[in-house]
Amino acid sequence: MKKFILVLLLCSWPCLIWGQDILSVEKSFKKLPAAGLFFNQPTGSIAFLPKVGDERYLDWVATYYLLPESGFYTLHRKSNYFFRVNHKAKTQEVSYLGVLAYIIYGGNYSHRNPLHLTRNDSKWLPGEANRSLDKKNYAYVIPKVQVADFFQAHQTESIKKCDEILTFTWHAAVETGSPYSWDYRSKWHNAKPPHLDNFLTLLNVSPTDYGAAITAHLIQFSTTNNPSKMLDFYFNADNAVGVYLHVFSPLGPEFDKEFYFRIK
Amino acid sequence: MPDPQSPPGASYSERLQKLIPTEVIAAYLAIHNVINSVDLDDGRKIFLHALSALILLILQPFYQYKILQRTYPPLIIVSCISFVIWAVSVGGIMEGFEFYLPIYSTIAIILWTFVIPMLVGVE
Repeated sequence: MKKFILVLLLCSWPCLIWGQDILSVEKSFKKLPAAGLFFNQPTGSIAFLPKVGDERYLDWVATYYLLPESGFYTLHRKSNYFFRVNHKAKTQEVSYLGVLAYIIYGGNYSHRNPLHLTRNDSKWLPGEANRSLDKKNYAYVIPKVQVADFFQAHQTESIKKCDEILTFTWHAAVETGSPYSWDYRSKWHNAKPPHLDNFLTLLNVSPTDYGAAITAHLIQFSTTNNPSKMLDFYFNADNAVGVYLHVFSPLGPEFDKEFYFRIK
Repeated sequence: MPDPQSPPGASYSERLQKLIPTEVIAAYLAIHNVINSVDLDDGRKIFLHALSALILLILQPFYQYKILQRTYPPLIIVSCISFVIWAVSVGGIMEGFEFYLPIYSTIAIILWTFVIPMLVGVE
């Protein structure tokens, strides 16, 4: 029994260290000066695109700040933060990318809606019978609900209830019928910043006086050997002081990343 | 192919000087630095780099003919190719393409510089 407890303690030590260290050690971007260098990185790699301020220029990106691993990074202040995911792989598989950006504002900032939800412009299926997706839903949809409602919606057991809380039918299945985003609702429910209090301290924001907003994306994509269609996402963080970003895909753990960004 | 402006007796470096359009490359480098000194989207920078390189490439034969008074067509063609390789190597044009790696232009410039004096101006 003693041995078992000792082994358990030894095994849990890295987890304890991770929880503390994720915010105490600031990580650095790896600068890649060409698109070809980014697509030579492992599948699932994520890069911040510092020289993109507008969607029109996403086809011509030459500067990549690779985020080598989950962790804490600093971003320079701008309006829109663009990211690219490497979906280059030998086999072709259809899946989706789940992106949740938890955007933190100092003080009770209320100049934006608390929830922005999008599905990209792909062939999405309703996932269940007696449910239909509004074709307009791929656009930027801004439901009038609060941040807490987003997490609460993913604790419910029925998609109908979730749709009601979110005020529209956001969850969907990819064109092959699977994966269905609602089946991965625990991912969304758990996408809260796990070290929020420490993060707020680091940002010099009072835990009792801060504003938060969520931008969440469902992005259908296919892994490909020739990435002509890029896998990109962005969020707007005007006036924000920090962002917690959680990215995942049912395709595999290589897509599962979490980042804490300090904005200054 | 004999080059009337680069006699067989000319040294390797002399031939190289004639086949690499240093003035045009210098002009492109100056434009490249100006573009890079401004905080612009990558897309706009690539467009400006490509456009300025294209304009210089079009002007280069006229420059060679009018200012440097070079009339030997193979020499003009080779120096145009040299300019394209140098411009790509300096950076700013090809970096947005997924298939391109900066090492390609570095290798190309070494091989091209090594090979061209043997292609032109040698009997």
